[in-house]
Amino acid sequence: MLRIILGLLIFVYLFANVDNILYKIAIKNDLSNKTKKENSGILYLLTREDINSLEITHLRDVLKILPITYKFNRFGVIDPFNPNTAIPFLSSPIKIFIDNQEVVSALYNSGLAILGDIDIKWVDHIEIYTQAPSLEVSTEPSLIVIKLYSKDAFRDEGNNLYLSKGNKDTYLFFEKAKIGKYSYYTYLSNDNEKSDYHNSQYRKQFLLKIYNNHSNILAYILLSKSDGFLGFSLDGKVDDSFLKNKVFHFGYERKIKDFNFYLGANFNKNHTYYYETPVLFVYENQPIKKVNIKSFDKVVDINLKYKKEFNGNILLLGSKNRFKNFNWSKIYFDDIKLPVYRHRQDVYTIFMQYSKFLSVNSLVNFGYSFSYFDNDWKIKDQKTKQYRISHTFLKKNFVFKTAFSHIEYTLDSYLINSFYINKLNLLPAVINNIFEDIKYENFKNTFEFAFGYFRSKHYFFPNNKGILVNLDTHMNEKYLSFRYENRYKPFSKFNFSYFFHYIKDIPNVNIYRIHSFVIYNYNQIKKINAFEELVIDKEENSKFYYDLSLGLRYIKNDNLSFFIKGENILNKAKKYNFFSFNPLTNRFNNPISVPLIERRIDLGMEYSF
Amino acid sequence: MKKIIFLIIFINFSFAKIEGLSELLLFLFPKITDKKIIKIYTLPKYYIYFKNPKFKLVIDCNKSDIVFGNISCLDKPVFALSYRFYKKNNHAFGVFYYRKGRPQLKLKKEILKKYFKKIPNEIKGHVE
Repeated sequence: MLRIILGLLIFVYLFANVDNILYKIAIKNDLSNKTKKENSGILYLLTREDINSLEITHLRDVLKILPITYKFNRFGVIDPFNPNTAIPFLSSPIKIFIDNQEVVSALYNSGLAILGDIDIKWVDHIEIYTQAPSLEVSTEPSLIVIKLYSKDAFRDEGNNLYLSKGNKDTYLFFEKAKIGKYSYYTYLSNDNEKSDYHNSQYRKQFLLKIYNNHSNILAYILLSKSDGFLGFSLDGKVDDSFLKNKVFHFGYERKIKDFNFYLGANFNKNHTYYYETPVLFVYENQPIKKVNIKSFDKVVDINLKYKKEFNGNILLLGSKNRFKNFNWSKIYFDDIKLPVYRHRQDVYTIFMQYSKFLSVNSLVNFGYSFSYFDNDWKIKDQKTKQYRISHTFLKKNFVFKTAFSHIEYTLDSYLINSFYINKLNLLPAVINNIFEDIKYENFKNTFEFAFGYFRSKHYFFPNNKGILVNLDTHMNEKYLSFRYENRYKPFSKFNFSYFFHYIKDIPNVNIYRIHSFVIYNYNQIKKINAFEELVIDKEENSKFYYDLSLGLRYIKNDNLSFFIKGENILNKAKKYNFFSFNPLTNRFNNPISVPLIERRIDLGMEYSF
Repeated sequence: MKKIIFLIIFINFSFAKIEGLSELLLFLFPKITDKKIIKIYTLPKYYIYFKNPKFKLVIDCNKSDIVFGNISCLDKPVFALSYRFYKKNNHAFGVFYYRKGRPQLKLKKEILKKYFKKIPNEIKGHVE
């Protein structure tokens, strides 16, 4: 009886007027409902409504409100696992996908370093899986998987023009979508961001998606030029520098009955330049003022998956073949030409995942994958494996998820035999992870509590001489998060999240704790959309940092809207200290403190036609 | 079949059925017509939205009260699923479509008056 009354109340609430029915349709047909894989890890989801209402324009706007956190390294590229040292891009276990296609560079073995700062107004929704997600999400050994799903023609048919101008950023994009036998969505943007800290960025993006019920073709181009930030500089004062990237991704995905075929190709052209007087760094006892490096890499993926449901159980089988080529085409230190290297690495992976329903509300999942790395030069061939067992249980509005996973990952081919390290044949890093996730959800509220534990072996870490080695000791990490969401009226939401990381046994540091609070609220009042967002960060040996963002959008009519958005309004957002060294005195200078998110205000308009 | 619906065999790259649209039509159509049973003419792929006994599907559009979808039939009133079609068609009294990711309902005042005489208060906010 109570259920009937509750059902009736919900019915009255939902069906009172057209707007409520439309809101219900919006929720039921949110594209994320078709793509998310709830039992594949701890999932953080930003829906189209979240992205629109929080005026999210760049990927960092997303990263900063999630447990990954937004951090960049001395080259000014996103690198949450490695903000301080000059060993680049340790965040390769963070993978980025566009529409289920991994965008990856062989240089970084991840797309994060090249896509971490991009404008993402082409995105419909974002799924972020943490705690070593399942093989269904990614067959690559990964700790975090970021899935960006582009807009589709059904939800965004027509043309849309967007322009914003602020104290830091000038951003313009045009998008067009059309439904047909083959539907398409296309996006073209120009983004020019200024920085007070040698981290200005200039970007052009093009994305084209053509699809029907069985096939999906994606073409993505990114041309970027940015300041080199601190880079190789020892004293932190670079006279002149830039990093240029030309990225091209093409992917074709085809579904035939229970089979899914994917062919993907990624090309990345990189040019790095630094010039500094009196000295940039010392190389083999020679002071170097100028560095000029060019590289080219490509990654080709050929995947085949078979997924079949029988007797209520689901079997996933597949193979993934990745062919990587990496080429230092030019390396100049001052006017000295260094020998260049050309590398190849082929990775052959087979995987299986079996899901068995123990009862109508209890599911057990087991996955295993094996990879063989065929290396060239003096680097030994390697073998790695991953396995994962998980259980998902439903009880009324509760979801309980428990998982244990084991991943092994190797170093990227470019790091080996480059000038960053000189130790060949490092062992694969091993990470074991266990987590529990408990979620309660009804139409208006979501409570989620999760905790996890990582234990890693042979983790890659720079030693006192700056050489990357396997750690002899185990590193331990504990993780805890709590999230509360209240959808108090249509198109309005309040969110409170808390994340805590506790990392033990890091060399030279011992214990490192990170606390992060994220509070945001957005609502719609007649023709005004408003949002408020506060991110509070506290890391070991640092004070509390506050990043306050506010925004308003005035919707003049269906076709035209105007907005204003302020980010880091109090100018108290998280700062990082980068250490600098004076090679002339052989002493450390005062640390250089850099805000990760600079204070910015943007005004803009959006016009649809 | 399963209470756990997290697993999807293989996603389609495009999506046909709009969940909840049948509820919107069930709310809207009886309010604008006086008929107890509303005769609908539409394409077979849209039959799933008209399973309620208040609707009757007809295969002869001459006998229909409302034509549903981006199709014209004589001078019958049309409820469209594309904003462009709705704007161009002289018999389209309403449309369901998405704009910037949000579902929208729009109704034309003049066409509504021509075919149905009355405009209920509940939908006035969507009449243009």
